[in-house]
Amino acid sequence: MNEDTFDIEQFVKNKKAELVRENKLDKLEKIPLEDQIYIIRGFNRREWVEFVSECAKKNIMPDSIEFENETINTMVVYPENLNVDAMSAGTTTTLFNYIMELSGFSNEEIKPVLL
Amino acid sequence: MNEKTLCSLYGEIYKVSIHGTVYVFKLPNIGEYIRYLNLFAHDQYVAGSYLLSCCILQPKHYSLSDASLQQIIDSILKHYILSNPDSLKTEINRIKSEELQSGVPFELAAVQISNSFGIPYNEVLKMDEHIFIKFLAILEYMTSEEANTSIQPTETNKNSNSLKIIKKSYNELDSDQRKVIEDFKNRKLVSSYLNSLINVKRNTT
Repeated sequence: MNEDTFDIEQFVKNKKAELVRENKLDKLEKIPLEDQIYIIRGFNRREWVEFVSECAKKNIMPDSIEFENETINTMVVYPENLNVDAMSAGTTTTLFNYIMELSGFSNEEIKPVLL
Repeated sequence: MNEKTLCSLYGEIYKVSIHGTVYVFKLPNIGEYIRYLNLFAHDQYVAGSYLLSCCILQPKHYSLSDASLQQIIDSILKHYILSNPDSLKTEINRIKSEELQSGVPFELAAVQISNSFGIPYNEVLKMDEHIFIKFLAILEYMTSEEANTSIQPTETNKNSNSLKIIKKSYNELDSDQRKVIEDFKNRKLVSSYLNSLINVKRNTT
């Protein structure tokens, strides 16, 4: 995609409409990292459950680096066709954390209190 | 309903805050847990939705599609399974073996009454046997395809070591139990029952 002619706002608008049609969470976030703008989206619960289940079928467990890569490949909507292996470790981890946060997950395990 | 009232109704309840929203939840009872496991084998999302619907007491309105609720599901299961693992395993085996025999386990019948009539599960457990049978009879009537002719109400047998539901014919019921069913028919409560079922379904899908 040509960066000079790329209309990011229109891209976001179109992507949101597409996500709504697909019953997915229509939350997008622009993340500038290392001179590159990334656009990520978040999971809704159904997509999250299906995603984890699909990963489990491929023997990819949460907390593994493969899970982080799968998540980035699925949830980074711009730029397309990312080569995760060629990205810096800090960038991939940051993107993964943002995706989780956008999906509503806390950074730490929640701690319910007995009433 | 305040937390004190919820505690008195459900016993052990928990509170957690996620992104500023405070959730109060209880742990599932054995019947709900088994139903969750059965659903999980078919559809993990629906199973999770069912568990949330059973366990979240507050707030009343929340979105089942919110991925952050997955953390509550994980937390509920972790607390539940770790609370008394040996007892849980024994209970599951007991109920599953009973399911293979004729009759319905008491706990599952109680869950069904609780879900269908919107009565808190603990309240159902506190019902005296007479009232419990009446609700079972109504449930049986409502779910019977030929409701007018072949009602198969049930009765609990609390004398045996394991609580089990025993089928009983309509004619064997006490007159007051038959009256409940007749009242039910006369007042056309079927539609309200159906509405409650639809609501339960809506909450679990």
